[in-house]
Amino acid sequence: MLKNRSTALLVLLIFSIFIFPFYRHDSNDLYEAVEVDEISIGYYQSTTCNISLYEVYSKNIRSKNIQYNAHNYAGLECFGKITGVDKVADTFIVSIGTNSSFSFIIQLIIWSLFLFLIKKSNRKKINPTNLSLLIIPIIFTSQHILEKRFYAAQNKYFDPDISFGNYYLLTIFLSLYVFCILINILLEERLSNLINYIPFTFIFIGTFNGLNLNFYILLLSIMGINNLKFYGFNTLLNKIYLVFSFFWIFSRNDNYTFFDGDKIRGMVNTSNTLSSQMYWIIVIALLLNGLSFLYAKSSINITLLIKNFLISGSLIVLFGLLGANSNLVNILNLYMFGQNKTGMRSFDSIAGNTWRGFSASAESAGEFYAFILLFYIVCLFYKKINFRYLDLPMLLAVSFGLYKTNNFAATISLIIFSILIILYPKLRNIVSVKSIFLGIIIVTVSFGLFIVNKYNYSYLSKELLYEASQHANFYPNLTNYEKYLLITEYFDAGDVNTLFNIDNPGRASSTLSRLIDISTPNVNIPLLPNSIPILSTTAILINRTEMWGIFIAKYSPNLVETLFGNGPYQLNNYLYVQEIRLDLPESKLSSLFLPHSSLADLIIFSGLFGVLVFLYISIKFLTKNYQNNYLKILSVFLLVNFLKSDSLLYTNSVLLLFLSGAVVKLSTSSDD
Amino acid sequence: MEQNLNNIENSCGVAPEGISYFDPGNDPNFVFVNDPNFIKVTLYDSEGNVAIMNSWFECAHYVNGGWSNAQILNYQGDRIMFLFASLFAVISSIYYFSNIRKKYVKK
Repeated sequence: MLKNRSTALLVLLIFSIFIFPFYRHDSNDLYEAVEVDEISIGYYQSTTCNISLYEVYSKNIRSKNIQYNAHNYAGLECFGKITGVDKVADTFIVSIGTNSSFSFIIQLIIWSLFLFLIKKSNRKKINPTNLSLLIIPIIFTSQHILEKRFYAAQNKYFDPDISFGNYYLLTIFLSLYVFCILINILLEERLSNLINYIPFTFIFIGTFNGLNLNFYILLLSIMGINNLKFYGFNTLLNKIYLVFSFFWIFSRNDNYTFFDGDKIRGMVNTSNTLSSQMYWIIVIALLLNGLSFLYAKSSINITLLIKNFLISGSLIVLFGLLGANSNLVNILNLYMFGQNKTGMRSFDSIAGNTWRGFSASAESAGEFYAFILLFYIVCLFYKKINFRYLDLPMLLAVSFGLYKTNNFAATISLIIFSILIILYPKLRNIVSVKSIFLGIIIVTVSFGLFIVNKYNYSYLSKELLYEASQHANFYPNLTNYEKYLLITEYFDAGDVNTLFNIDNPGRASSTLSRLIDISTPNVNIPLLPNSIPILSTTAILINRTEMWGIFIAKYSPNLVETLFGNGPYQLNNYLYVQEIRLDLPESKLSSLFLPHSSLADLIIFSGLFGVLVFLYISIKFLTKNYQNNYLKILSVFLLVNFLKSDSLLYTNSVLLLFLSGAVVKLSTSSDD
Repeated sequence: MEQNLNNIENSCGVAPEGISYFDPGNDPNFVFVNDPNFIKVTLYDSEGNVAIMNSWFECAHYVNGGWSNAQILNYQGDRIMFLFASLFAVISSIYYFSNIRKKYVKK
């Protein structure tokens, strides 16, 4: 009873902290809220920072043509207040002041307090190191100096000078210090249980308003310091990472390109300088150590985990739909859950390149929903959980969420993997494992032959490189249409040499040039299939020709970058170095084009050696014998889906992949 | 001009007998003469700069240039947040470290 009461009080406290800044107003002041219309625009423009969001909303509760937008650059005095009204087409855009520094304090408090709702574990208490109280604030405050171009545009108080009179940096430092204290208290008794709440990272996205920082990166960094303290630096993971860091640092030339983070804000390097590179190397090292610490100290409760997945999935659907229906909920969702972008304002499946704000991409949202359903099916089938009628509405909500993400690949893979789960135990008794694998290979080859017969082989093998060439900066003096005709002509004639080396020398990216070389080998080894037609055919089958084509046209690494990558979460070179001319409609030219494959992301960050290390870890994990081997199917499901999505760029998707691996080894089916 | 006169009188008071305001222009040799009978007035500009006026004429000239006796306080949000964060840091430190101490005493 007492526990319930304290939980209720904590929830009440959280919501009060959350709501108060948007509610606070003086009813007796001169500035009253009025109905938002064309006449009142001037009134709102001249009374900025005086009328609260609550006042305006309550006065315009029935208006459907009002859109609330967060305005980070406002001062503290304007927090939660109207900073301006504009009319765009038929919609009134009401700007709400949300100063980044104050948002940081509020969001840090709210999300940390939410963690205290997690049940205490019965396992032995740990004593977290107090080193984090100093190291974490130093590292993460330094980000404001190292990525100053990003922060200068986000906060009116921004000041990068290191001095005791710099209240901006001191506030960030002290807030992080308080956060570390809260997390140390939390880790002491709740650490082993924390992993069971990873599903909630999909509703609490955790991206700080106006900051290039994610809450979970902070949390894992603290655990990372604890890992280094308890287990030391001398692990294989750290040694490999050190080798990569060496190449990332010493192959770097300062390049003053800037990426504003866009929808992946929170876990991306916005700057292209050595100092910001070093910051991200340290942060990702801590994050990897943090995951290692979490793995070592956790115990998974399958029943609780499934329940949390269902609750989280349903809540995303609920708040997503509420946000689409109410402009107020929409802006509050952004602030409360730490969304990267505001949620959709319609009930369409996809809009504005984001999925209801809760996911930067519909693909990763689809993967999450399909993962929940697959996890439920696996656990139900292997009798790890019992079906409860209460699960049914939540399962329906999750299925609806999956349907709304339009993620065809996730849906199809969910169906195939579910069939495999059901059939595998029955088949295993009749047919040997070897025969099953042989069958899969025969089916794949037959399917491949069918596809080759259906389409033209020449088309299948060249389409990806043809698409990439269309986006390259070929024939700069011709129009896009003329360029398209010439490239088509050369590809049809099979004369890529003239196109690349005579007409356009040095204009193709190094990736495109290399792939052209591989596709036209000087020595033809019989029966050895060329990798390019396989890649091209795969791209066609999963509808990735355009996106992968753009990636090939854009990515132009040198030798060291090819082998070791550009550094952790460093996309600047990929986005800005190679000159290209996209063959796309005018309206799409300014969009952000990510590679649309986590494998490609991994190549950008850690190069071919990074991919090899990842493959080695994956194969080792998949071939090792664990008690809950059947749960490996979850990791395979995610890895397959990650091949065609950028999920590696999203903190919560990375955590989901980690969880899918951890669950194989750490799970128990009963409650604590 | 009437508005200006009002502003001048609000900030500097009524003009002493025999003195009226005229624009000294950009004369570099112009010197404001101190008036020992004038009660000194402090004026502020929009950037928070402070100037002390020693005569009514000087005061009128500054007011004409946009200065005022009303200090425009810049809302120092960063300072307020710093105080807020400091308070939290002190409270949480006391709680956290006293708890650690208790644990060691128990041991």
